[in-house]
Amino acid sequence: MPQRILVIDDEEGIRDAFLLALENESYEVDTAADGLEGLEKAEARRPDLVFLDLRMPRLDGVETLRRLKAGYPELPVHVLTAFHEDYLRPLQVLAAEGVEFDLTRKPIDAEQIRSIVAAILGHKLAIRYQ
Amino acid sequence: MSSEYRLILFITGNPERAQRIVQAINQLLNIRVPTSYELEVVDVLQDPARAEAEHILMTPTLVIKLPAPERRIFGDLDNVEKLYVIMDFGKPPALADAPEQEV
Repeated sequence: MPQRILVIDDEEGIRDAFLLALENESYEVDTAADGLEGLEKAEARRPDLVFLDLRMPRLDGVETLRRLKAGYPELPVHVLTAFHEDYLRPLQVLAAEGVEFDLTRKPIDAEQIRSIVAAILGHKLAIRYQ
Repeated sequence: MSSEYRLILFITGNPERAQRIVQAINQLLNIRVPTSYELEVVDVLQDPARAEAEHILMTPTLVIKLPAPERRIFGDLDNVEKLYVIMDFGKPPALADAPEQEV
């Protein structure tokens, strides 16, 4: 059974970027346009990896992350965000509560998406030369 | 103090996990690096500008500034055996006779 990736982001361009980047890979990629839809999809079929936007309508990324990790503590969640203090401040509270997550920088290109996903889901190390 | 090895580990919160990774890296460097080394830990939640300046793509990431060439390692960072291989140290002693493994 292919590993399942769920991309939760209200920007259609980001959802499409993941779908396109991974279309020829051996993963099943599903998308959701906000936190509530993301939680519903995660509950219907548990993903192996979640990419999660922060600023979304209906249910934002912080609360979505809190609920996802409450239901599935071992589920790897990568928050998609610019590395900027204003965006990251709400996440500091979650980290202080012991909620575990990682960060993936926005913007991100197709090759970067593929290498990150391969490293995480393959439990491998990837190396990039600067 | 000059170091032959200078590394920066970028993590997100979670001090226990950071500690595990730091332990793995220290274990590796203590075996293979006879001289001093410098390992700095940066929490991206506390210092995002530093991560941006270093073009970090995801956490956790280990940046090897020295020895050159500068490189970034990300993924399963708390696995000391994989780190051993990818940092060009060859096979770890315990795996010397094991078949080739995907890193």
